[in-house]
Amino acid sequence: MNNTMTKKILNPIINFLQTIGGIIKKTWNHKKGRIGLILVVLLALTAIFAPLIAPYDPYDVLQRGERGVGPSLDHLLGTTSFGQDIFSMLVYGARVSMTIGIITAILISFTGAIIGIAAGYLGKLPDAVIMRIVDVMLVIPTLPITIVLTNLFGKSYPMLIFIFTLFGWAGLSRVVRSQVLTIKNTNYVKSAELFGGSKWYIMTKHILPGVSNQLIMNTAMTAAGVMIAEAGLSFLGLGNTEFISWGKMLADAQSSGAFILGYWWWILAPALGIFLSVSSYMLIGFSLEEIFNPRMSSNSSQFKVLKTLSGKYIQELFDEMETIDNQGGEHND
Amino acid sequence: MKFDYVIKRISHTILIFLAVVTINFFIPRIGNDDPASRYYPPQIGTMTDEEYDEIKALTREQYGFDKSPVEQYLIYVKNLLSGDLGNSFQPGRPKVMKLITERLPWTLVLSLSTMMISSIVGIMYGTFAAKKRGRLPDTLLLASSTLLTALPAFIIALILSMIIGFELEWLPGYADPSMMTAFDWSFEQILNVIRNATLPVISMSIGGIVGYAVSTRNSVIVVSSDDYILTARAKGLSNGRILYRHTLTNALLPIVTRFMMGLSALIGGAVVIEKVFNWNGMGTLFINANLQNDYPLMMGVMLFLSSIALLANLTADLLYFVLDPRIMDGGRR
Amino acid sequence: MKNNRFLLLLIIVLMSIVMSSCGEKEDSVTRDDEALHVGYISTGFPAVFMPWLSNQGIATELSSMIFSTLFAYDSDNDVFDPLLGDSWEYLVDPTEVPEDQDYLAVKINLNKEATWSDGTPVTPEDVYFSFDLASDFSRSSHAGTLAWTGDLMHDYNSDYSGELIRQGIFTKDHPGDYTFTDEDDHVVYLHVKKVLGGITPLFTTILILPEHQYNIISHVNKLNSTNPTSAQSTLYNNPMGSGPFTLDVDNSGPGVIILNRRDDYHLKDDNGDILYKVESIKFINYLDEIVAINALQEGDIDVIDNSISNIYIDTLNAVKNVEVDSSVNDFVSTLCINLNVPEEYSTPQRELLKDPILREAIMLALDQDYLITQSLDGEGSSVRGGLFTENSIYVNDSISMDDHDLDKANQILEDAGYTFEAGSKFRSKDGVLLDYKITGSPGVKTTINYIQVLFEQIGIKIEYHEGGTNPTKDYFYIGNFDMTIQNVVFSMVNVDMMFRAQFVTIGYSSNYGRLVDESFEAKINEMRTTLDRTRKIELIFEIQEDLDSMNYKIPLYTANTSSAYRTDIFSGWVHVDNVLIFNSDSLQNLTLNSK
Repeated sequence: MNNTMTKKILNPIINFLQTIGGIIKKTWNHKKGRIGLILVVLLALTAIFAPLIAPYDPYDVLQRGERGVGPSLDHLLGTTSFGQDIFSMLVYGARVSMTIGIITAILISFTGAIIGIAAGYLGKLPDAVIMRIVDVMLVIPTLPITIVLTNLFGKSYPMLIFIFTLFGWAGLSRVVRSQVLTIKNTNYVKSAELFGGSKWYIMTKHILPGVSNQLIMNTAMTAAGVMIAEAGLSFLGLGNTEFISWGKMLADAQSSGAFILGYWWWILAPALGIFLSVSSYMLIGFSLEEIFNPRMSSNSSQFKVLKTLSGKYIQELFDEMETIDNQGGEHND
Repeated sequence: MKFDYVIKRISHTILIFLAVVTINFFIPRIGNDDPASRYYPPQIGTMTDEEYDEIKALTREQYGFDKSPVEQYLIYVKNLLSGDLGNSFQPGRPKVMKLITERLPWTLVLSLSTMMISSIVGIMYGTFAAKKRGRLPDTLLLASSTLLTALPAFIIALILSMIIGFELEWLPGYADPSMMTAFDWSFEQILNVIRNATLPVISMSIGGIVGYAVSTRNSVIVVSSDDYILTARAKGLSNGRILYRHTLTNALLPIVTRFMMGLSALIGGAVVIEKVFNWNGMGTLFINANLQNDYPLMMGVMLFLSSIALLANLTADLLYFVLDPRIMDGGRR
Repeated sequence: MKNNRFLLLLIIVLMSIVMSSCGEKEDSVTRDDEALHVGYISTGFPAVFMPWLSNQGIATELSSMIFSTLFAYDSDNDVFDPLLGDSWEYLVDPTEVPEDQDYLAVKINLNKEATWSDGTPVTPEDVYFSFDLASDFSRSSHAGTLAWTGDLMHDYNSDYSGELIRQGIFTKDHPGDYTFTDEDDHVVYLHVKKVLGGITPLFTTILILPEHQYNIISHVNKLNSTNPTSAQSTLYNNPMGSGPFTLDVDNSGPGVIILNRRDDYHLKDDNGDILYKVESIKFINYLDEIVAINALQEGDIDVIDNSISNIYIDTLNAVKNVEVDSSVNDFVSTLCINLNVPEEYSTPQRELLKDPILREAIMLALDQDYLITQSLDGEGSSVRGGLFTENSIYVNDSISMDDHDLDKANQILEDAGYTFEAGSKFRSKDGVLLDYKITGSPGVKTTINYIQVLFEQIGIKIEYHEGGTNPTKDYFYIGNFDMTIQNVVFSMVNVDMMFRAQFVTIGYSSNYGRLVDESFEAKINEMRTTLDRTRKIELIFEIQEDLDSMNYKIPLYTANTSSAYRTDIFSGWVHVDNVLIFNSDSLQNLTLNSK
């Protein structure tokens, strides 16, 4: 029936949104998280409403001002060697960073989650094959391979997103997989299996929620990492050179003599932009980590922390010790 | 048996190496109808189409494209085993291996110094902060860890280069080009290298120092917590000495793995720093190879970097094995 | 505690390093050697010095200092100056050569004093060997060969078997149908194609190689083989030439190249003394322009051997002992219009480009002064429609310079049916909006933006289109573009080849817009083939007028070249048009200011 079908699709989505809403609320209550959230929203707004916020259009040649002036009333953050207003460039640059950061992070989380869950739950052959592939991908250095692939297949932001995703899911899938291994053996899952649930059903309804916390936290941290990587690549000239991005602003500043001519504002502005955007996601990520995994809160003393725990950290410590024993190959007796 | 583990790891590494080699072989050959298309010299304006076809045929013959792909692959692997990474496209066709070994030491100067300084200074500061837990050194560390992780190394590099290098002129803001040619191990030259390397190394180390410091601090705090020891005793580990060994290993292992991972990350990541400081190392070599579409050189450097990463992984695994508390304990259990 | 002490020690060590650098800043520049320090901005110095292969960065310049060609072209006087060759002549005046003879015979007298840097004399056999190797593709295979022997009659079989099918070079060891006496031991005869321009590339582009070294090159060990033997590599790393300088192999490396003057160089100055006054040159590679500029300011180098960006001119002029030399250029930036798009890439807009009235309007809208002021900061000059620069010896100055007239442009467009449809800012004809893209590299983006401004005033829409890494291959050679910015250089020394490449040949040539004009082509061919020098020059003037009316490649400007140098250590810099301040005239004049 149509009704039940729409319900089937809507329900998970509503659940998902509710979870997200819950998480956002928790983050807001957390000190670091609140700052992170505010920053992210500010940056997103700047990116979306860039034409309204920026006083000049940095792409328009006619709107250039005097060259190389420092911060002033006319130009809040000064101008470049070519007369472009740096504040406007900063605002427009947010578009590139935020878009690439968020899209890539979501794609990586998606892919990494699916593959990690598949590997962890399905075990045996799929697991072995996937893990070997992951090993290979983790060995290849990311920056050089990105440079090679953009050379072969073109420099553009979609290509960059594709490459980041291609090499980004590997690390995440490993983490997800190890979590899945733990969840796999819980009673919750085992009873669902006994009741005859299909593999797909179990993976989506039981395992996925279990790893979702880790996933969401990871999305935030990945977004931060991707933004750093994109800034580095744009700095090397490998992004789409038509668009203004913070990394490219830095590259232009360096090659147009900002150092020699003393235009410190040209370097500081994009550096600040990168710093703010990256730290906003990292703050959210850190606060999520503390919310989901409160083991090493920096403010309380060690004593209190160890007591309030459910003994989880210590358990992990001992688990690790046992793994080492097992890897050593010898048994207790 | 213990050696099972070692053999398993080594064979695993070899497998991954072969996979990487295969990927490396195929990358420049895909994406176009003609696998040899990236090896052809450009068609000069005065050349007729027939002449160009003849040149293409000659090129294919010289590079072995007239043989089957399998045969080409085997020849490639055979050459690899004797250390021949092929010839660069540059006029005169210098050997890729020669170009890499010329520049490698300069990148290693930066990477190794960074690793040593990050780990030594980081561990020392971490222990110091743990002892002064809750007081200024500690809170300073934890506050700066959140801040500094959001500042990628190349941005720190740009800022340092601008302020200390060009404005204050305390240290060179860019690498002295003649330093890399006439190097004769004299005291003066060594001092010059140290002077030029200081800012790059500082930029790269800051992130590492904070990382090492934080994890050392956490480990030390855990180790010295009474609650922890009490719980551990309760778990049945009666001998304090063994307990200490366990926790020390636990503390050491992450640091060792971090060290090894750091090496491979550094060599890849140094690419951007080298551009900031005009440091003529392997990173610059790679970027220029990319600009000139010099595929043998590009893929040669890629393979080199991947191999280093692989070796680092293998070393970390073997060290893991060696640091097994069982062995340190003299085999008694 | 131990930790603290260690930290303290570390800090002291670091501080002392920093301190040790502070004492080195002094006001006057001191050097530890007497060489001329030259900064060169590039991604890296060449690893080998095979003069016919190395064309990256500084390699061509170094090759021309270590090796020599037969003659050098003097563009101010349209004559050939002696280098390895002393004098030359046509055996028979070209206009008197019989109809059925398909070649011109040229006699070259080599300079008897010329020697290789190992002391052995340069002989006609070296010349024969070099030309022979360049024409034999079985040994030197096309790719990368910078020795153009297309006009030499010395022909090899094209199936790479190495069989000589026609001899066009004659020396004592290879006399052919010439008889050589004992006094002719420094004579070379050449048979070149029956055109006046045939000798130019042979005289000025082929760097002569020493036969006794390069005879290791064979059918098996090709010149640019992908896997050179170690003997070849040694040869390429230790170049031995007949030019005024030698390479100091031991002290040169990836970042520094040292050239030493050869005191036994065969050309002397007017007093019979050593021609080049500079004794040694140290080239230092800088990866970035800003670093080189800083080095110049600090006194680490005396001159930058590249054209520098305009943004530094004011700063440099303000520095004591540093000057900036501005020189006119010989290349012209043009707007190249695709006026003959192939069917598979045709669009309605591109079809409209075939209309000469539209192109005339475009020409009238382009204000060269405006472009020079805005995108070059005034560092440039206007160019006439004939595309020869003002200081060129055969520029046709009857062609008017930079006539822009917005009103006229708008008028002729309106009359030809290009009108503004309801409310649109731009014109259209028969429903086709005048909306074009200019394809180019990011470097010309600013210029294109200013062109955009100019075109808006006549109702044409222009956008920048990124050309990617290989725009010639991806767009221009196949005719898939609207317009682009193309740089052209025309001078007496290259018109024979250039006019064909730019306006006749279709496909892999500079004729991006695929111009097909039979009478124009005939004129170009006549210019190339006529043996009457006066007629040739006449035709060159006519061709310039035709170019002006064609509006196919419309001139934008010619940008000046600025080079920066120091005056405190060396003095005697010589300004030469079309080149940087680091040129051979300067090298022949510079002396060290002894302190």
